[in-house]
Amino acid sequence: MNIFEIKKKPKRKRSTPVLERLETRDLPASLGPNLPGNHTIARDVAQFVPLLYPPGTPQPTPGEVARESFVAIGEGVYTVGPGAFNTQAYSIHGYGKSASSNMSRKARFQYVVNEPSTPGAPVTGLMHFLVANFLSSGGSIILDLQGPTGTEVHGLPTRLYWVHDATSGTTFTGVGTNLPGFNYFPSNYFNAKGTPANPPPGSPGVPPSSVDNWNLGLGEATFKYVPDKHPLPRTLGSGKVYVVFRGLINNSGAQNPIDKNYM
Amino acid sequence: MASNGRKRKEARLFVEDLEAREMLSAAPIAAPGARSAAAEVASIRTVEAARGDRRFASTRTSGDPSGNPFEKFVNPNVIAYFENLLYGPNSATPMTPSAASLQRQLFTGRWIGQYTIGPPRFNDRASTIHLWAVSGGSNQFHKGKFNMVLFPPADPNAVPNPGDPFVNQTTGLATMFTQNNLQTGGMLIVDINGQPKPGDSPNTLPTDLTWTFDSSSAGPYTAPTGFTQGAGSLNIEYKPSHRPVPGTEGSGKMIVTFQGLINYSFLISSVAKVYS
Repeated sequence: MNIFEIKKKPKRKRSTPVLERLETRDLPASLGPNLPGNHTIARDVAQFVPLLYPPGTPQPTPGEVARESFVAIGEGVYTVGPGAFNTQAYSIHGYGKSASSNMSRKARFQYVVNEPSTPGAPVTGLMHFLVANFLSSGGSIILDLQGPTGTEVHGLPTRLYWVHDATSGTTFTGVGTNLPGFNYFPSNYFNAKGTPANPPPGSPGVPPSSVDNWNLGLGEATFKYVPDKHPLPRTLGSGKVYVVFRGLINNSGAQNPIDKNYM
Repeated sequence: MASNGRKRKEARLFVEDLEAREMLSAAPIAAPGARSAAAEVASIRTVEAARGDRRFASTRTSGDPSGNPFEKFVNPNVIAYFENLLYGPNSATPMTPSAASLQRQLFTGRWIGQYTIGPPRFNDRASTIHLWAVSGGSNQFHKGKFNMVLFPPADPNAVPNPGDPFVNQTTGLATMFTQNNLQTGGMLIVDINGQPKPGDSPNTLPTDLTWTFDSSSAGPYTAPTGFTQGAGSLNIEYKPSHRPVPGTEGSGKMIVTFQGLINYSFLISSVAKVYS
């Protein structure tokens, strides 16, 4: 090589700073077809409409079903440990930083699932999605988990139902505590075994469900576990977990300071 | 003088008072310099007027020499009505609040913003009205953002039933996001309902409704046990736009006015100095 040859400097990669659009202009946003920020519609959620809005109660329009549709996916890790109470055979704790939903592009999650020690009792638990790229801080989607035993793979339950918890944060807080009042929030979506009640609440003769409950939410959760060959020390098991949550959440649409919800 | 020969516009900087030192705190009864809430608001308005603050210029009612928008629209009869509703002999919490307590609980607010009308969410509703504003405030927090949804009934003459107890009523929800307050996450949430006027069509925009305090409120408005009372009235003025926002069934400007009582605890505010 000629030492006097001038080395050409490699071209600099140019990166143009961009402003990332704030979540709240998009989600949870209206389904106005000609408007920006359309809410991505989750599939396969119509199955939950008869549970939340049984015959005899006001029925949601197709646009409303699409507005309430919720889907969240996440990837994380889990550990298995002893139950916290004598009614729990063991507990599964999972968490992940990589999660996304159609109501929050970025999210983190933590959950706990408790396998019952009594045969026939339901599996219970809690899931918390901490939403990100939202203007309001403190936003969180809290879902109460329950379901029947029998879906376990390697002893870990893989399919549960969820109900929206009113203690969710800010944008997702369950409201309507005075009107229509919590007495209209049915607490009997599920029977003693953790399967959906039949007939569902709100049906004739069953405690009513009001469409003005900005807290109603129900869906299903699936968990896929990939156990570690060598579990983490002091755990009963550990590994990777993939979660998918799908259902309906009747968010009021008026709990976000910059949500220009056109419908 | 700027380099292009034009005079530079001078912008005076000033330090804005922190909300929490003045608002959402009890009027100290025994402390020196105690002032009524109304006088407090009046003094602030005077200072803002001197600064040329035009934030509330459009809310001032003409002919009001004091220029105090919050004093102008408080109706003592409305306040007395809700006092009886919340604390009267037939209420859920029958007791007699003191004059100072009523003054502390007084809530008045006004926002100027926009609204849009869209299709109903459920088959017993006529439409969905969404209202929001960034210009406005109240006597409890100077500045706040506002978001509200209303659902007029599809059939105002329908008979309520266990499956749909509010079939003939307008329902809704409003959230007021407190600003210039030391705490973040402040949300004052109120549940709204009202009966359409006789003869109104389902497409008539609701104007006079009532609200009740929602204990899901957050931040300084978190409601511990014993501090969940709150109710009042609200009035909405609409100015429809000749060219509605595309995709909506109607849109325009609106002015919403709140007045009523909120039994605010002052216990959740980090700097509220409650003297009694």
